[in-house]
Amino acid sequence: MTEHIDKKTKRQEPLVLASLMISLMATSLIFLIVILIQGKGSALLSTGISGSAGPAVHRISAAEPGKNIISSISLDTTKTTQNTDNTSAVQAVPQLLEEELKKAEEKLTFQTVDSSYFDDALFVGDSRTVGLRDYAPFDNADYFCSEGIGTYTVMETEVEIEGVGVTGLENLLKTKHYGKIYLMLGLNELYMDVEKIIGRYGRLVNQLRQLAPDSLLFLQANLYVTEGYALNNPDFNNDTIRYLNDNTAKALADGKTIFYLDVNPLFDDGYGNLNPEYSGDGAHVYGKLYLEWADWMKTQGIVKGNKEPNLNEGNESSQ
Amino acid sequence: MLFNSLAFLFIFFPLVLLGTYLVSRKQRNLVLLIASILFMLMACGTSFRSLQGLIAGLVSADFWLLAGYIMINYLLGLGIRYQKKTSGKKGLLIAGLVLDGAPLLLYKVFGQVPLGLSFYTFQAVSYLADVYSGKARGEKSLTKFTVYMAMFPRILQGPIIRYGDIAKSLYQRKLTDRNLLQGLEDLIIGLGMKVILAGQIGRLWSNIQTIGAESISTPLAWMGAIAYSLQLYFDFAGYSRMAIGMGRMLGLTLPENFNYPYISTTMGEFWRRWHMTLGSWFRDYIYIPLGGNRKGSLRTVLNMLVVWLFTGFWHGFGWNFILWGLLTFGLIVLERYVTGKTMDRFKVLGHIYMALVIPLMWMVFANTDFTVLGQYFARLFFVPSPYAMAGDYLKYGQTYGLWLILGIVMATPGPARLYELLKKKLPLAAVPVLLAVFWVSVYWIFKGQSDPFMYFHF
Repeated sequence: MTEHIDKKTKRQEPLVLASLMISLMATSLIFLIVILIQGKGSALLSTGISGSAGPAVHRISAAEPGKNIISSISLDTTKTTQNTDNTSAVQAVPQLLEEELKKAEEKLTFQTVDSSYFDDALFVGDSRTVGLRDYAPFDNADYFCSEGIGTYTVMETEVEIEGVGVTGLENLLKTKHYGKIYLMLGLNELYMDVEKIIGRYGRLVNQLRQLAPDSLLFLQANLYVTEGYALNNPDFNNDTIRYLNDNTAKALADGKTIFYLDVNPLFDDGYGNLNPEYSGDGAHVYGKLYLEWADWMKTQGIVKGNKEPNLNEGNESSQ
Repeated sequence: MLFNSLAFLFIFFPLVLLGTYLVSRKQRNLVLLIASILFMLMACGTSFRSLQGLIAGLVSADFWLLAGYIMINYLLGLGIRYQKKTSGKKGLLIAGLVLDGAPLLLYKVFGQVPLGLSFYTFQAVSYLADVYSGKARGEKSLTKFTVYMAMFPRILQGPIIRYGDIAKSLYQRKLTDRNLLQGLEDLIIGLGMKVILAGQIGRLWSNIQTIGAESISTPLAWMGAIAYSLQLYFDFAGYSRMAIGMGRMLGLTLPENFNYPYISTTMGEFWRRWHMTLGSWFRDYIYIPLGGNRKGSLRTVLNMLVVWLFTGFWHGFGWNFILWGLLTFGLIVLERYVTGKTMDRFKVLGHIYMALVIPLMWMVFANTDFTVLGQYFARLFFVPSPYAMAGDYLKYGQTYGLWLILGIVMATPGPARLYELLKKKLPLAAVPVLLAVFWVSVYWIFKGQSDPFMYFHF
C-alpha cells in the first residue's frame, strides 16, 4: 500500500469505504438468505480445520465432510429416490434379470486373455478409472469416467468418447455395443449413508443390464484407502469400503453374466489397507501401478463358449 | 478455524469487529483477548458446530501448551524487568530460552508440532531478549501480553511480531476509517490470493502427488515445480496479508511479511522478500548475536551456516530440510563472494537464475522422501519415465495452464500497480474489484466445503 495518497483519493475515501461496506453487507445478506433457504446453512459452521496446521501447509476440512454435502450430488435424484434408497442391492436387482440368468449356462471361470480382449470393453468409473485410462495399456477400450463421479451422478455425467463424441452413459450404451462393461463406483459417496449407496448401486446395475442386455458386467470392488488416509478422513475407512463392496459388487455377481473383480489384494499392506508405498495421496495408486493392475485384469477374463456374443470391435447394438 | 472458512468470514470476524467498535477504547484489548482464546479453542478443537468442539479444544494439549508459554514468559519478562543484577537477568533469560526452545525442538524431532508453536516460540524468545537488552519493557498487563502472544490474526502462521513494534498499538488501539478501508482491502486481496490462486494452482501439485514422481513427463515435472512454488507463495502470502488486514481493521499494525519474492535476482534478495519476519528474526536473534559479519569472513560464513541450518530445521525435521538449508546457504555464500555483482549488473541474468533456482529449491523442500526427491529430479532433468502417460502435460496444461500464467503474472508487482493507478483515477473502482474477488473466493470456499474432493480428485 502506498503511503502517498493524493487529495482526491483522500476525499473519496469515506465514500469508497461506505459503498464497499454497504455492498459487502447487502450481498452477504442475500448470500446468507439464499443458503439458509437452500438448507445449506451448516456450511457456515464449518471451520475448515481438523487437527493442526503447520506453516503454510494446505489443510482441508475432513472433520465433518458429509453432512452438508449431499446437496452437491444432484438434489433432484436424491430427493426422488430417497424412499427406495434403503432397499438392499440384492433385492433391487431385478426380476428382469432372472430371464437372463436362466439363459446363462453354468458358472464361468476367469482365464488369462490378451489385450485384444478389451477391444469391446467399456470402463465406467471415477478417478481410479481415469487412472486406468491414462496409465494402463488398454487404449483399445472405451472409458466412461470422470473424477469425482459416483452412483448417483454417473447417469447425468457427459464424457467424451473417442469415435462417439460427448455423450451420456445411457446414450452411449444405446449407440454402441460393448461385450464387457467394467464398473467401479461408490467411493466418492462414502460420506452418505452407505445403505443408500448400496441401494442406488443395485438400481444402477439394473439400469445397465437393461441398456446392455447381452454385455458381461464386471463389477469391481472399490479400492481401499491407506490406513493414514482413513485416520484423517473418518468416513473413508476400509471397513465401510469392504461393507460397500460386499453388499454391492460382490453380492450382485452371479458368475454367469455378472462377475466380481477385486484388485485390492494386489495393493494390500497385509492388513486390509491400501499399501502406503503404492499411493501418493492415500486413495489412488501411483500412475505406474496401473500397469500391474492391467496385467492382473488380463488374468480375469471371461470367455464364453459357443453362446458367446460376437466380440468383434465396433459391433452395432442389436436394439 | 481457518481464515478461509465461511464460519470465520461471516460469523467470527464480523462479530469481533463489531465488538471492537462498540466497546470503549480501553476494553478493545479485552475483546481481542476473548476472541483469541475462542479462536484458539476452535482451532484446537475439531469444530464449533457444537459445544463438543470447544470442549475438545479445552482439553487439547495444544491449547494448554500455549497457555503455559504465555504464563511462563509473562513471569520471566517481569522478572527480567525488575531483577536488578545483570547476572540475575541473564539467568532468567537463559532459563527462558531453554524453556521456550526445548518444546519446539522436541516436538519438531519427535512429533507433530502443536498449532502455532513454531511462531509463538519465536515471539516469546524475541520478547525475553528484547526485555533483557532494553529494547522493550517487560509487560505488566497479562491481557496485553496474551494478546501479543496469541492474537488470532497471526497465531497460526504469523507474521512473527516483536513486542516493541506492537506495544504502541496495543496501548493505543486507534480505529480510523482509513485503516478500516485499507484493512478490508488487504483482507479481501489476501483471501483471493489464498483461495482463488493458491487453491486452484495447488490442485496441479496434488495431482502430481497422486500420479507419483516416477510416472510424470519432464514438462509436467516442471509444471508441478512451478505450481508448487506459486501455491506456497499465494497460500502463505495471502494468509499473512489477511492477518495484516484484520490487524489494521482492529487498530493493530502488523509487519509486512512478503514483498514480491519471486522478482528477486539473487537468493539473498529472495530471503529479504520472503517470510520477512522470519528472516529478520534469524538475523537479529541468531546471526547478529553470533557476531554477524563483524568477525571476519570465516566467522561470517560460519554464522550464516548456523542460521541456514536453523532455518531448515525450523521448516521441518528431515534430511531434505537440512539439505534445503545447506543449498540455500551455499547459494547465498556463492552470491556474496562470487556471482553477486554480476547478477546485480545484469538483472536479466539474475531473473533467469532465480527462475530456475526457485522451483528447484522448492522441490527439495517439498519432497520429504529422498527416493521421491531423486525421482523428481530425474524427471526434471530429462531422465524419461517409462510409465508416463503420453502427453500428460497437455492434459494438465489444458486444465492448469492459464492458472499458472495468471499466477506468474500475479506474483509480480504489475497488477497491484495497475490497481493503484486505477484507484487514483477512479477511487470507487476499488469497490467492484474487491467485491468480485471476495465473492469468487466465497464461491470457491463454498464449493470446496460442499465438495470435499475438489482437492482430492477422487
